[in-house]
Amino acid sequence: MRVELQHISKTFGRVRANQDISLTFEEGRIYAILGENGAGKSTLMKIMSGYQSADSGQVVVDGQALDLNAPTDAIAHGIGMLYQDPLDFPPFTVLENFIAGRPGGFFPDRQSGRRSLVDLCTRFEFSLNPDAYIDMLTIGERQQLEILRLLSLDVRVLVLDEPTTGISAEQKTALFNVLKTLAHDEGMIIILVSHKLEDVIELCNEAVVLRRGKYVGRQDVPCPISDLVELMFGKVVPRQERPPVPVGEPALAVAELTITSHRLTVENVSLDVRAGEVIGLAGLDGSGQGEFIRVCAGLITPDSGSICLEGQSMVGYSYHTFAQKGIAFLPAGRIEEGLIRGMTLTEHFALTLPGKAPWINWARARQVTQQRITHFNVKGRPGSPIQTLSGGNQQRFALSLLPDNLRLLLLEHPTRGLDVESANYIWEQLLMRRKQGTAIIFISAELDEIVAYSDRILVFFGGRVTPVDDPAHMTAEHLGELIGGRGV
Amino acid sequence: MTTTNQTVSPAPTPPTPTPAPNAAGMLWRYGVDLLPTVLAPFIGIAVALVLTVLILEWQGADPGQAWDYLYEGTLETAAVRADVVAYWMPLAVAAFGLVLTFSAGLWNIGVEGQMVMGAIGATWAVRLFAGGNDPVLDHAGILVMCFVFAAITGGLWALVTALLKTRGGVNEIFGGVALNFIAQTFNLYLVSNGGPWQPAGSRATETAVFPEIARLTQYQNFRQLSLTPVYVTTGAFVLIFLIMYVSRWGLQLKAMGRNVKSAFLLGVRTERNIWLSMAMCGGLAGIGGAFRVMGPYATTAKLTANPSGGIGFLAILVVLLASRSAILTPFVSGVFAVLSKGGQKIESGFSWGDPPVELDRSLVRVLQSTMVLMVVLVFGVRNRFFPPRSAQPVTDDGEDTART
Repeated sequence: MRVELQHISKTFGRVRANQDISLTFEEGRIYAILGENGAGKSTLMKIMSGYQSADSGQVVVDGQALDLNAPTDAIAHGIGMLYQDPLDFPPFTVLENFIAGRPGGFFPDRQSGRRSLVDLCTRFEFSLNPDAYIDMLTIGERQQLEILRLLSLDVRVLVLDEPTTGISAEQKTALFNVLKTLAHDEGMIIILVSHKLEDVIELCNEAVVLRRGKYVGRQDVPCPISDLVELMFGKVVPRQERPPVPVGEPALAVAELTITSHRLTVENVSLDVRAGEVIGLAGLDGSGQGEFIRVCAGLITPDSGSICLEGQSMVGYSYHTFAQKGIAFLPAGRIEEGLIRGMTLTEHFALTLPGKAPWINWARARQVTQQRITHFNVKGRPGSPIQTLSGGNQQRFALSLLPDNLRLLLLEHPTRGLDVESANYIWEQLLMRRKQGTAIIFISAELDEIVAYSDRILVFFGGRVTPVDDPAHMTAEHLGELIGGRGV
Repeated sequence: MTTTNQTVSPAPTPPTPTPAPNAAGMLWRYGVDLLPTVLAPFIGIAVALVLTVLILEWQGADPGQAWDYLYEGTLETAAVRADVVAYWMPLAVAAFGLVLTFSAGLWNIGVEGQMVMGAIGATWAVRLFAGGNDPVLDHAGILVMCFVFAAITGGLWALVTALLKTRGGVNEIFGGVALNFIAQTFNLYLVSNGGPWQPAGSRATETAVFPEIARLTQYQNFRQLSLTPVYVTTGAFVLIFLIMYVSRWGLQLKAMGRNVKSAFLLGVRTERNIWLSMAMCGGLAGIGGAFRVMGPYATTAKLTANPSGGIGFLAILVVLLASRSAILTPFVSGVFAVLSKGGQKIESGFSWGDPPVELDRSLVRVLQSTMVLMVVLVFGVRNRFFPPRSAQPVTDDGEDTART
């Protein structure tokens, strides 16, 4: 069997999730699809498994182009996908879940279903009780059930989206053994979508890397972890020497923070930020840097640890109090959580301009808007609805909305989705603010951006943090290993 | 990076958006964008009218005759016009409140229960201040207290929904539906089966008629009409207009309605605004409920088993049809008041006609609901087949291509 993706393209609004991606998957091999959040790997796999349709391009199995309108079409052609959150019905039993989705008459055949479930369990040494209810099972067990269900439907291509999130080490070993058996002994194609480079190196034969919706390269595995990091993040250009920063007053001091989210626990992070300093947060998506920056913004209350501003503890205060103290936060989703679709530029300023009066001075709002968008080089008119602006202009506008003389500016992927010129412009503005004494903490998926602009770096991996105090003399390999969880 | 554009451009200049092909093309695009928006309400209303005509024909009633009854029952004489106005005011005042919450993205379905609670609050004030033989307050004082009590009870009832939403994680729609039931049941308990507010020995599910001093002042010889609700509603209109078009708070509500997450990050105190807008809406609905129980004529100056008469739900339809516009709401609620009163006349007219035709009273509700449904449907169809330009994917500005 041989599966080909030919020239797959897919756009969502302004975002080009997949741009002309062509890949070939050969029988008996285990592949990894790597890429940062938003690289387009999930979209590509959803297209392959019939969950979404491509704008153009096709899925070809053994020379035959498929017409996929629903996941059942893909399963009929032997392609099955295991989603990150198992798609099962919690109030049902294991057996009922196993039977659901099987082709057949109106009345499910419980006897034959039970037989084939028990057979499969024995074969793969999974211990699943057919009569147990799903909500009693662990995520790992639910995953096992889903794999067995897909196998019973004669799937020959198995796509797994982040399968090792939330399962135990033993379950992971069992899962990997089964996947290896399926691929190497039974000639199936296994495709793993993952962030976890360790898993990829342990399990896969080949890694395919996507970046910003495009195919950027492939790599035979095993290989050094830094090779994968380089493919994912781009080459690290040695940084030009920069004059040392005049370090100013302390802007924010956090100590021994512990943050628990539903995904992971970030433990024991300490950081002193001083005026005029730029701190880069590196790491694979979901390693804890998002949680950390939200704690600094006052959006998440940490489990323990201290946040100090001018010697005063800020734990428990609201985001708006943090904002009053001169701490600003720009989230990654500009139009989703930073700006308001459907409102004009002037309305944004009218909303955010400080003022005591209960009414809006529209003349002043328009005037300020015109001034600021001219100053920040935003291509748009004060009356334009924000969503009509391009991504770069939206980001410049978001920056122009921030008050001057901030104490601390927190940015999540400040240049994501922007071209080189727009990204440079954003950084010019940011460095200008830095010169005025604003401290900056930013998250980026671009290693060169992190290395180029940071005075110090915090590398996040699985909630653990490694500080890097001298990024200028840091090798790309070492940084790559830190990001991939090695060399700590 | 290669650029085909060789004009002088300084380094940090971002890419310029592609200019529109020409003026005519742009006008055409605007037209295509605008036309469905302008036509949508009319298409919806036309479809609803056609449906109503079909139902009338099916029931054996002459649609032309129905039109005459509608006119006769609502606009022909001063008396019927007064009735329409009396019905219009509580509907409009509740709808004004909903303009606030709907703008903030809060689907305050609980407005019906808030009206009932307002009616109960007004009745409570009557019992407190005009109960005995020697009332504590004069006429104006009692009326003010009635409105204040109605606004507070209605507002608190809405605040319960808001607190359930922000602190309890209960969606305001579910909270509202539940509180509607509770308000109606509580009202029924008060006035039925020996309830505390049912006069001793009475078997009617209503309170005693309010004393004259606690009724609204009748305007001329129109039994249902008082000018006080007209003044209060006008005041409410001015207030809502100022909030939505002049105040900073109104802009905050609109921002929350579009994207509550962004609004919060841009500094809007979203939780406080949810409480405030819900409480204000509940207060206005409560005042609308007070209008419904305070006369002026004796037959209507009492708390009945169903004080709101479904006006709260009708107000939801009004605001949906007016697409949350504070300016359109008075007119749309006026049209709905005409249709409601006219419906009663159509029904009674046909049943007394020759030969008599028995029409269901709910026919008008069907017409009103169909109208809203059709308008919403036409908007949905438009968004699906003629998406506004802003929602269309952009593929030609080279903005989101990869950096190298």
